[in-house]
Amino acid sequence: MIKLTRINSTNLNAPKIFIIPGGPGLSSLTLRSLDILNRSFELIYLDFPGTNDNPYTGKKSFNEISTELANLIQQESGIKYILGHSFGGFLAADVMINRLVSGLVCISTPFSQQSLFEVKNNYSGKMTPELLQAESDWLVNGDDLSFAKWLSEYGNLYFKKSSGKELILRDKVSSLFFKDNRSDALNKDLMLPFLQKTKKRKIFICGTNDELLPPNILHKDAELGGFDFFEIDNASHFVTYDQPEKVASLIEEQLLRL
Amino acid sequence: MKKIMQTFALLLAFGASMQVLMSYASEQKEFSPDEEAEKIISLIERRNELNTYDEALNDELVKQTLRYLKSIKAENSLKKMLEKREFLSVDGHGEPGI
Repeated sequence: MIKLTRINSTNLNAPKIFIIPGGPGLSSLTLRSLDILNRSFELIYLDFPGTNDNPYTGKKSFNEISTELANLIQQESGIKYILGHSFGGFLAADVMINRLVSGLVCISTPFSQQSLFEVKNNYSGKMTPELLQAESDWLVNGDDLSFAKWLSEYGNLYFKKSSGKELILRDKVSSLFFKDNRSDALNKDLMLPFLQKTKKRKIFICGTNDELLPPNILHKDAELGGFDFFEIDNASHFVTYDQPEKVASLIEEQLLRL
Repeated sequence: MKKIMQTFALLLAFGASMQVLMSYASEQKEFSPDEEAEKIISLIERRNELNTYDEALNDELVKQTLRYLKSIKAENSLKKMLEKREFLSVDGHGEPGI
């Protein structure tokens, strides 16, 4: 079951926006800097099994998760948008391909093989001793604690703000969801032609200083998917954490044409 | 052959580290291609019957497949394949979080 956390809007009759975290295995707590968007949207944060106190119920395929997500969205009334951060962007894109929402926001999502290659390359190339140690602990222990510690050591690969480390350490992560679903990132370039065909609003946001997935790489994916592409200055992979106000304003401007 | 290829695809999806894979592949014992292929087919059939994730069975499949590859002297091909971009997940580092 996907867990929903609703943040009501201060605006009457506001459209809804579904917000999907990345990782996979990170929780919606990593995206709560987007709470400020409740001035324009009703926010519905999603947490997959294993994350944010939502019990893990065993491996589910990408299609099974996507189908459950589609059912949830169909049950909601009103104008609906969807936002996915990084890995979460794959699921958000699938919802858009199935034409269940009026607009899509992908944040730093690596759709292509080239992007995934860059992730790997940058991760290895910018490895610090702390990250190497955390990775080693994660590979040995494979539990939630070592998973969170590993991700918390990504440093500039993830964040411009040094406090990002604490955000990940405090997160209610799921190592099982990561292990079972990380390979779902493969072959997602196949989604791009389908996204290109959808005529609804699609925006792609990334951080100018994203050291895991630099803008020049993501821009190609965005172009192939027919997205409008935006860079946010002074932000890394977690653009929403580094620059929440800029991201929120951009989403409002682009989705609501304020 | 199709089943062998399916098994190889499964092997790559397991995300085991290259070091672990190569240590299996470098076992000293001699294996018979026919016998190892039969064992692989039997494991695939068991997996199809179960139709669910089973780590122990996956481990056995990987081990058996590597024995088969060794029996046909395909260790070098395996090494080359693991270095290809599409098989990034099996390179000794954990797959980064995204």
